[in-house]
Amino acid sequence: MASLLEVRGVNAWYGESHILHGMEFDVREGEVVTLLGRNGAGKTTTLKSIMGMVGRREGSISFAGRQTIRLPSNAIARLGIALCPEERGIFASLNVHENLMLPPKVRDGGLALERIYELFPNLRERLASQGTKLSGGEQQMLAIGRILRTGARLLMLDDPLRRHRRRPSLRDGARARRRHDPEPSARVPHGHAARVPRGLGPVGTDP
Amino acid sequence: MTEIFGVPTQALFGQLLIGLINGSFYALLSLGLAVIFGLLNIINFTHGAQYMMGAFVAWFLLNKAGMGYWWALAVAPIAVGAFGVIIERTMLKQLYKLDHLYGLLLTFGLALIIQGLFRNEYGSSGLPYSIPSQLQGGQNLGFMFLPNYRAWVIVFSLAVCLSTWFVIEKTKLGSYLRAATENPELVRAFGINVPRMITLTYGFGVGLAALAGVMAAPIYSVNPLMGADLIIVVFAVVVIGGMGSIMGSIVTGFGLGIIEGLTKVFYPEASNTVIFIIMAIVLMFRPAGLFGTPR
Ligand SMILES: Nc1ncnc2c1ncn2[C@@H]1O[C@H](COP(=O)(O)OP(=O)(O)OP(=O)(O)O)[C@@H](O)[C@H]1O
Ligand SMILES: [Mg+2]
Repeated sequence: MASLLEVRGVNAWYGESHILHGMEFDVREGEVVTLLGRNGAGKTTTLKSIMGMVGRREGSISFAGRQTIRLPSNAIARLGIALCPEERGIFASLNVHENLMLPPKVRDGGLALERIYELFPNLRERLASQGTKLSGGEQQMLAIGRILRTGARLLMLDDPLRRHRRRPSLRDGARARRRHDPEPSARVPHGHAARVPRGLGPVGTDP
Repeated sequence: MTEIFGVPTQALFGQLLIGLINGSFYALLSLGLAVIFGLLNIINFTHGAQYMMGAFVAWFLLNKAGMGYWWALAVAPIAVGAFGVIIERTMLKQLYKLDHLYGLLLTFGLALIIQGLFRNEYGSSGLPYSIPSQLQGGQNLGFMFLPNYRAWVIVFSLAVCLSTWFVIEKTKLGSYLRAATENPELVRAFGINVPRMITLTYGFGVGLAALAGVMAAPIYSVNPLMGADLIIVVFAVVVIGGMGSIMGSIVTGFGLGIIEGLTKVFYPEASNTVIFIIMAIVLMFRPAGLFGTPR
């Protein structure tokens, strides 16, 4: 089966610092792929590069057969990629309902609001609250809920479980990295498949 | 004759009315500045010149195209707003990554150029613009005489301010604006064309200034420097209200207009400085302004 997302030889920079050195990986439809790496390895940068959010990036990222490396992030989102950012990105000047409705639908097939409230019942009760008045975990639900609505085919969750359980020690992360990544660059490998709703192919990071 | 605190009510209400009129212009102009600052992070020093351009477009429309006040009310904001869009696309957009100061210098320079050009062409004595026929005359309210045009200015600018507030605070479009003010990169990554939104927001803020200019034309004369004088006071209003707060700019605009009017009655010597005195006091105790949040 052809890959939904193909990342090939991607380099990315913040100003002068060269962060990604030839990232390569694939995500197929319906697959869960986890990027592992120590803190500062470049997981967030990888997701931002796919989303078109780093200043300078090179290489090839194709999504559903379309090359996206030169597209601005709003155009990439419209192709059906959605990001739940590391810092959650809940807006203080919007209430919970407005936060939830903010990302526009990019395709059909997203979750209905009802379904999102079933998954995250806390949200329904707090619709009129200021977004940032939710607890950390509730804000995470909101950040995930709002992209489930959009119908995006690729969900990228940056460190989604940070608030939900003990953080694995740095040593665990380093071991994982050594096992899979012989090079000193931030080449973050290894996909593993799991059951996910059909049509959703999330990429997550979780050190 | 009736008196309040030893002041004839005629004079009191007369000054209150003038205060409300001035307040209408303060509110419209500081609202535009607040909207622009919120999204662009630029203090638009060209605002006064754009207000003046609005009045001039009204004058041109009347004298060169025979289009009266009501046309001007619609056409001038669009024309001057389009001019703003060009400025944003060609110049301001280069500055977003730099310090505030650059935006301030650029817009200040533009204001000087625009005002200079108009002054060369039209001198500084001012061109007359008459009140539209539908709004001539006035009402005798018993305690005072209320000219229709002035009543219109107050009501209309209040309506424009409140509609703007409503759109920004209560609608979907407004939620995009508020979100983009907080975190433009993320809003863009949700698929919203933030650069276009920024351009249109600047155009809208500039359009508000032009609208105020059209409304001012029949009250003050149409004069190349009409904005330069006003904008200094408006900046003080913005500092008092707090940069970037929508309701704050409306309330402080009208409020300070009224305070200025009352000062004229009770202590005329201070009427030109009262706003700056309030500004100094507010800066001492609430540096982010009455309605502003520090950022
Ligand atoms: N905005 C930035 N400007 C400059 N350097 C940055 C920026 N953001 C991240 N970096 C650097 O890029 C490298 C990769 O950062 P990144 O955020 O991608 O790491 P990460 O793998 O997500 O780490 P973590 O597990 O801590 O979230 C780090 O060395 C970091 O210091
Ligand atoms: Mg990270």
